[in-house]
Amino acid sequence: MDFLYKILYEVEEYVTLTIRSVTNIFRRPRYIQDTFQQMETIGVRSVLIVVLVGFFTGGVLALQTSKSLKAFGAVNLMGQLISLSLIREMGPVLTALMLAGRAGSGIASELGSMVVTEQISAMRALGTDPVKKLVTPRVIACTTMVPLLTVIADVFGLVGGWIVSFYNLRLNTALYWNEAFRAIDYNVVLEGLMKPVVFGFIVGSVGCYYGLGTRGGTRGVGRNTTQAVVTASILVIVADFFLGKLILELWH
Amino acid sequence: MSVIRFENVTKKYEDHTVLEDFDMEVRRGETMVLLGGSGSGKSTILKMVVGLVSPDSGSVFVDGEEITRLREDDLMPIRRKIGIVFQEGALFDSLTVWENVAYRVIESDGYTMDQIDDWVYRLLGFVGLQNAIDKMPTELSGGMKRRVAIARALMGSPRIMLYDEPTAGLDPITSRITCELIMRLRDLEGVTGILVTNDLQAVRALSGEVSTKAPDGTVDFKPVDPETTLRNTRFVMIKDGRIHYEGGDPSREGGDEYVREFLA
Repeated sequence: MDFLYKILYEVEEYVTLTIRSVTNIFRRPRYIQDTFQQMETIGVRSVLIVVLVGFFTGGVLALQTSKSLKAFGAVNLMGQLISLSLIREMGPVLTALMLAGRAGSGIASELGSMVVTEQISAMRALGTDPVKKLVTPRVIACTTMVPLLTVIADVFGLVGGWIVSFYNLRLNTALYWNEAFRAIDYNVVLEGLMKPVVFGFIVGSVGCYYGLGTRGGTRGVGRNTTQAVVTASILVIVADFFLGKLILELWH
Repeated sequence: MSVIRFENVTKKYEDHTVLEDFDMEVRRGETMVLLGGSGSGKSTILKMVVGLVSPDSGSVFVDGEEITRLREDDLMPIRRKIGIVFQEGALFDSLTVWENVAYRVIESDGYTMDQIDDWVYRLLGFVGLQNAIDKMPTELSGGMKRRVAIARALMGSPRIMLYDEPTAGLDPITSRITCELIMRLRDLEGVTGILVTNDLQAVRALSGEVSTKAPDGTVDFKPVDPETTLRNTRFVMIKDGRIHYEGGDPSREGGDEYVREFLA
């Protein structure tokens, strides 16, 4: 019973924090400079990781599916397969998981360190609301940057798939790209961009929640950072299932 | 008139009762020195005054206003009247000394950069750290961090200062400099304060000396008559969640066995 109460309490705390972080967008003071700084830290500095992940995911998709496609004489559809798999599913999920590891852990450890060194208390005592100053900019940055990074991952995934298709399967370049673009319609784009918005929100808010909830000195910082990454990763995958289901019900 | 008042305050952390039906009052211009063992609730009292910790029951008044049940947003005007120096300084480690000291006024509108710059320079002069203005907190020693924290707390000219063990872990010279800063604020600026400490040297300095300003602006620290008790300094010792001793310097005025043992 205690365990259930603890979970309910944590859910309530998390929901309260996320509601406050969102409502703060409409209230002054707004920390616009901090938000851009976070976008740079979370977004721009994650580009290389996302490029690598996207490129090799596209490449490995082409490698693994080539045998099956050959068996059915459908190698021509390689572009379509990679395009759909990446944009609808793998791009958003893998980018979000990478960001959970990189940005989520960074947010949790930074805020956690500030808690244990009383910087958060000092901030409150000096008349600043830490949710406005620290949480809202990070949540906005994650929510806006994950979709952009996902687009980058998708593009480089398609390039990776094309390179493997061209050199391994001798697939015609024009055919690959034609098929790849033909698969992209309004619904695919919508799904490919809606998911990362939700995932970005999850990564940012979970990182902040665990960071601000840190107790127990430096050991607590380590523990909460790990928990932030694990929880954000699980929530991303769970949200992916339900969003996928919702989108299938609504638009297909 | 009391500036800070606690009425029947009780606070528990899990099973441990830190304060129980606790009553306390700090008058305007007075510095209260809080003594007590570890976990006796001294730091909790400071945090309650700024609304960082809420009591389980009872009321806390600051400047006549009850703050116990105020929301975070409504606490902000109260917090602007108060400066607090945390145990380890709690400087923002991603900001320079200038940014740390200026933090409070940068966050609130209404000041030009020139005004803020002058103010920061003056406060760093007050704590003797003008040369460290562009340094990061990681480049400062423990004593320098504590002095920057005092400068940061003084930004905005608060009329109430709270010090959480400001001399703990400092060498005797830096500890003395910190005590002198506190005495100057007490005697020359008339700032109301609560000082949490277990440092006997600090206790003796605060009960045994007063600061005076000469016409040329220099500040002197003069010993007071051993028979005299300073009217603007009161000592309170906390034990088992309640006030165990209240009065002048307990190391001179005595007290029961617990007080003597504590100060030994």
